[in-house]
Amino acid sequence: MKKLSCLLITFVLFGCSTAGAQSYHYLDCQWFIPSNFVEIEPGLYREKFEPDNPQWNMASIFFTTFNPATVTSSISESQETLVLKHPVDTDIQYYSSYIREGATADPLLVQELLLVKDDKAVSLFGLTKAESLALTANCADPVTISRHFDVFPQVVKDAEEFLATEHGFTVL
Amino acid sequence: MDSVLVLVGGSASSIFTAGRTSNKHDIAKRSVKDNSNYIDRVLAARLRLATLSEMERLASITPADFRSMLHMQGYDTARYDDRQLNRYISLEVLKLNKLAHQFLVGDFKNSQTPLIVSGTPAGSLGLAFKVLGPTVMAGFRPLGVSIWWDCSAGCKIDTVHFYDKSNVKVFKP
Repeated sequence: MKKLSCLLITFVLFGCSTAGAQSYHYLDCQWFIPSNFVEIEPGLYREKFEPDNPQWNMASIFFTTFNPATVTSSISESQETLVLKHPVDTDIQYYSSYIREGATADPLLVQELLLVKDDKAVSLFGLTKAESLALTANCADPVTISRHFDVFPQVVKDAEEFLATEHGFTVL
Repeated sequence: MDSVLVLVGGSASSIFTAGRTSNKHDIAKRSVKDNSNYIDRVLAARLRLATLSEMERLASITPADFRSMLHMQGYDTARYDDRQLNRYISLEVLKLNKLAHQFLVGDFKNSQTPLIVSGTPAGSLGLAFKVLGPTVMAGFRPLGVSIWWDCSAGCKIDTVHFYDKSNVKVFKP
């Protein structure tokens, strides 16, 4: 009876610790949504609204369909976008987009990692490296995920200098 | 280099008691009347609150509702998929965040009266951007916000209109 009570308490505590943890099943995999993201609609999660937080990035996770024609689409004349396809030979393809918006001394700099399999895609827009690795822990290659974030500061510093190196990406 | 005098409040919750806290009350009253440079401080706080309110609304909009909103402004967004629309929303909200920050910094730099940071000294760092007098006043007189979009090449905010019954202010983020 005592053992049963201990077991029951353990289950309850475990349930409490995982209560509120979100996950989403997509591409035959379970994706773990970071706790600071809220569901906007099934398949779309955005970072909780915290504009006074200097780290807040209006980040979003979007499980959606893939249209190859839109991978390299730019938004406006004031925007520069660099899109790179990662040189990996897996069933998931990885596209990194690095966006500079505004020609002022203080431009907006954001990045998007797109994971594509067949006609489906997972968009990681504005996530941090830690959030991305936690989200994709079961489903994607952590080395490729990390590389997306390692390249970002190099591109921000000097995109032309980076492109002149032997980076191995396909520039789209 | 600009310098701003910051008073850190004590543990008292009311600013209307005598002594040190009555000094804060006087400063709050003076700061509301401070009409420095281009926009007075209450208007700056009203603009910032209105911008934040619109940002919060857009931060929770779905791609389908965003399409409907753009359709009402005369745009056909069929050529953009949901991922693109989500990207547009995120980027434009970040631009609004910059605008809100400009309202705050403009107020911060242009004020001639000290700012008041209410709370304990330990908590003052987290409250460094709370401006007691104008923000409290601004809360009682909210501005309306209307955003006009431009979807000719991608979708971006064209202009932001802030209005009440006697004023309209237009900004391009």
